[in-house]
Amino acid sequence: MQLNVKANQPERVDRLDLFRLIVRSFFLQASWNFQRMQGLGFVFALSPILQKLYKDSEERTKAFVRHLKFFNTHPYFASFILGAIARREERRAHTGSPGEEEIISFRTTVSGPYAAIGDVFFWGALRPLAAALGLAFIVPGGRAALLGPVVFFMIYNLFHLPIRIMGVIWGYFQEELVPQRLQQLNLIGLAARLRQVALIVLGAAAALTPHIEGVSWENHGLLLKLSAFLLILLFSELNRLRWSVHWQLAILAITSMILVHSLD
Amino acid sequence: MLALNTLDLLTVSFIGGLLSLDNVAVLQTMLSQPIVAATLIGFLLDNTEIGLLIGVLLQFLWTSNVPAGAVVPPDNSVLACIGASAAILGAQFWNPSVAIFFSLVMTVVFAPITAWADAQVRQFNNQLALSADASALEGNFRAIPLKHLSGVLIFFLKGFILILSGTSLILLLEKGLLQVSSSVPFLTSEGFVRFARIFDTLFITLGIGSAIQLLRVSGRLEGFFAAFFLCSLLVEGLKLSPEASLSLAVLVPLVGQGIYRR
Repeated sequence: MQLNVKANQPERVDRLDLFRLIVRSFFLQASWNFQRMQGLGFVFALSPILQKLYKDSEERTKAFVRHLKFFNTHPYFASFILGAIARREERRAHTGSPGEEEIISFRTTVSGPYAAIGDVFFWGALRPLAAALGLAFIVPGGRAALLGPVVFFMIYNLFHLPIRIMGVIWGYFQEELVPQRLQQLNLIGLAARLRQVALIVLGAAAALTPHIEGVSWENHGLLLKLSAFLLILLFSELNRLRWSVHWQLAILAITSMILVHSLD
Repeated sequence: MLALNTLDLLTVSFIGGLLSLDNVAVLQTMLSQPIVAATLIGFLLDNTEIGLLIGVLLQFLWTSNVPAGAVVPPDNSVLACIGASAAILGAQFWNPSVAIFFSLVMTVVFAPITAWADAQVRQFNNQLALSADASALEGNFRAIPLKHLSGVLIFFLKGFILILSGTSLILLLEKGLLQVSSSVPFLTSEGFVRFARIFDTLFITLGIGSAIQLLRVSGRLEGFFAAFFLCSLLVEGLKLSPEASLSLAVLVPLVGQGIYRR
């Protein structure tokens, strides 16, 4: 359907609009719900741009309604989609193309792969690695322990914030090239390496856990260290077998009771 | 005897409610992760040490519960705030190791409740999405951002109520147990304190077990084993400082596995 572009000449998306889009993308999940997931958040982020582009109330209503539909992806990678949709809506407001179905289809098509990349990289690799590095600062004890949460927060956001901010900018200016750019970054491959590093840091930190401030291993370091090692392996396997954490807690309590008696 | 410090509880619940927003509703900068949130609660209650300890112990516990799609994992930010505040306030009238023990156990018990509450909020938010549809069709576009942002208030209230009720419940339970300890002397015995200390120390194995299950690449754990044994050897056998042992135990397997190479 061709739009009446001459009657109300739409404006262009400017830097301030993109800045607003970035800020609003941080509120994407404020009304996360099972029915539309991030749908309402998506419209919230785009709303100033849609209002600016569509002066005609019928077209504006259509634009709002099409983006209020179901949408779900990784919250950080939504930035790429928001930027690209802003560009597509701008083009549509000026030329009538791409069509409504094309815009919705783009949103739906990219949300799945972006969610998968985001989940693997951020939830599955970067967050545990940042936490492991934080733990490495905490376990030796002393004043440096307080750096642990700071290290965790800084390392995580060193990756998180650029992805969110640049996502909108790349999405808007290089909409077609974004998948290629992401492929070049090879985040899945990087995630596998980060997971290996996290395992090594966790292994070293686990060997030092007795040094956690406020808890001592008393005079039975070797026995407790061995117990800790075996428990880690056991809990890892129980996690693989999807045992509830409550059962694992019961095993830990029983082990602690046995150790109290054997140390007496 | 059963009186609680209401001002402390309200302050912690308010700040905890704000921190918990970072988990889903806004930002997601990981300020809400236990290692940060519990430390901040500890700082607020003037006992950063216990806050940090609770944060570390809870950080990895639900690592493998990734919030993908419609999955609603336990709210670890709310649980960290409950755990830290209950442990710190509990340590004011009971042995700190015992207070930490009760907090850890109760946070694990509360975990499914936080997931359930989160699911209820998300269910309730369906109404916001539907009423936003109606606003769009009526041409009332200004109402849509307000409807969306009202979700922040709902998520905040959920966090505030859970932290307030969870912490109060743990503290009341502890105070109740202390009152009956004359008839159950085990609760205040040296043996129970020793048990609590060992339990608290070994609690981190639950989290590390969960984390390595998530992190193992193709089921391989060589890096973890190498770093664990090397660090143990350096710190216990060669008596190197923990910092030096840890650095060497990380660097040697990193170089050995060639992870840094492209």
